[in-house]
Amino acid sequence: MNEIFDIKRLWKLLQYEVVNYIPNFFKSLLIFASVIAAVWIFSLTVESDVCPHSRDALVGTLFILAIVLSPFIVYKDMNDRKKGYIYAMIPASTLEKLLSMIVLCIVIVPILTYAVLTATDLLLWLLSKVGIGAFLHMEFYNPFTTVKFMDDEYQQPYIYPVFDSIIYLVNLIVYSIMFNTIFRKNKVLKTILFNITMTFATVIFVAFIANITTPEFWEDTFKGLIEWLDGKTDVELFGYVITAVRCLTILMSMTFLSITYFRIKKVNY
Amino acid sequence: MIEIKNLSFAYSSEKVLDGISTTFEQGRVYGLLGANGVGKSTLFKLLCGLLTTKKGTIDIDGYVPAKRKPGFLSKIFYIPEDFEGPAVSIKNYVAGISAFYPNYSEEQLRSLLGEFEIDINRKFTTLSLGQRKKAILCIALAMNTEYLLLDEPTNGLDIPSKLEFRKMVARTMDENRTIIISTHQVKDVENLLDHIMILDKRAVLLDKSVAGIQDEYLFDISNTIPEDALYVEAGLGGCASIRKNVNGEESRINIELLFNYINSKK
Repeated sequence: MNEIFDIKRLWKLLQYEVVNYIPNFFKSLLIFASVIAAVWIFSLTVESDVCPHSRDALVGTLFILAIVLSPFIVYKDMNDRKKGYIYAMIPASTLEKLLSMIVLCIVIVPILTYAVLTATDLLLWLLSKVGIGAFLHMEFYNPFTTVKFMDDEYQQPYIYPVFDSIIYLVNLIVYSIMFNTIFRKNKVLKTILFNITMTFATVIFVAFIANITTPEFWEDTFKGLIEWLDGKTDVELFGYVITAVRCLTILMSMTFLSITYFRIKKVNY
Repeated sequence: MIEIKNLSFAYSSEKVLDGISTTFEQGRVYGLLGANGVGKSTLFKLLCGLLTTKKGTIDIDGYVPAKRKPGFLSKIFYIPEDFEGPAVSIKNYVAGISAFYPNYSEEQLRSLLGEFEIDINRKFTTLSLGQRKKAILCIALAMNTEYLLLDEPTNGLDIPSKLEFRKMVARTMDENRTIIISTHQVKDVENLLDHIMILDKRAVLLDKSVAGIQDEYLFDISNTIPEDALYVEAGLGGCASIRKNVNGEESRINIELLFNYINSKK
């Protein structure tokens, strides 16, 4: 028996998790869907119409919120001292458990969420027969479209591609997956508090550094870099920044997943 | 076979197990007894790999439990004292989990659930504590794993169900299986056990087969206190006593009395 990875075992685990965990997540999705319905009812009461851009923004925001929260809902009990033993004792390896978590949270849950939220919006449109256009545009949030922006400023369109949307969304989900395995209770609250603390710490650190340094210090320190930057156009520089952000995002996702792997492997109950 | 050597474990500063060594052999039903807080549930969690050993080793058929390898996990099934169950129906839970256990028998599960009158389509969350316990016991037995760890299995069961439970365990037991039952309700399981282990924080106070205990001790109830009694408890029915079995007489083990006697000696 291969104790590290077996594709058949991974498939069994996926089936187990879909059957055991997705129904619970589906109930949560109904809450998100009811928010859409509530906004529609409110908008129709006040304005007799629902703005298509509002629909885009609402469904897009709820979509992102749902998939970011999904690990906390789907794998809620995985490290609970009382209930978590069921998950820990599933005869699958740590790698298989991590891969199954990735497939569920990054593929299955977003597809299901997108389907439920857009179907809710469509159904509401069909029932009320108001609003411009039946289908959502979902330009900014939809990873399957490309969005042109910054063209006014640089006179050259920067295409916000599918790849970028996916890696940023995946990074957010993986971040949630990691904190879901780290915290045992009040997971969402603790994750938010951690983010706030980190933001404050970063601001204080940057302020401190800025306070003890001068622009000349940075010029001297990064003279070579500044000369190199001077020779580049804005569009070129923007390209470098985007590439750096992409690399950093992927690196962060890999780090989060590595922490999750060791957490699943070592968690005690 | 389960082999424990010099096992120690502590929660923060509280030591629970300290230098325990013992073995659990196949084909036996072990009764794991001990006062509250000696670490029976902790030992179960260590055997399942839910806790990591601080000192000492546990070897189960060549596996280190704490590594939670799939091959090991498919050999063992554990039911904690306060089983809550997942938020799905018994049928769905079994459909998913049974795929990992090669010896699982659907027919056996349906038969066992039938004996307890549990509907396979019911959700765990809609069952009472006793019903949940019955359902998971049926599932555990139907998985036919080599090792079955039951922590207070009869807690929450009504009187007829306790009898059913004993019958089920006896029926599903075979020479390849090891069942370890941790309980304070010794009367519920005393006819099942063929090995008794009494645990203390720092030692295994007793680790003997039922036959070995019967060979060594004589359990009796009489109106007078026997002169050679090792331990006596007075009750409404008379004086329950333990004596050395010098003449090789046969007697039925009184586990509660034995437990109190062993604990009084430490």
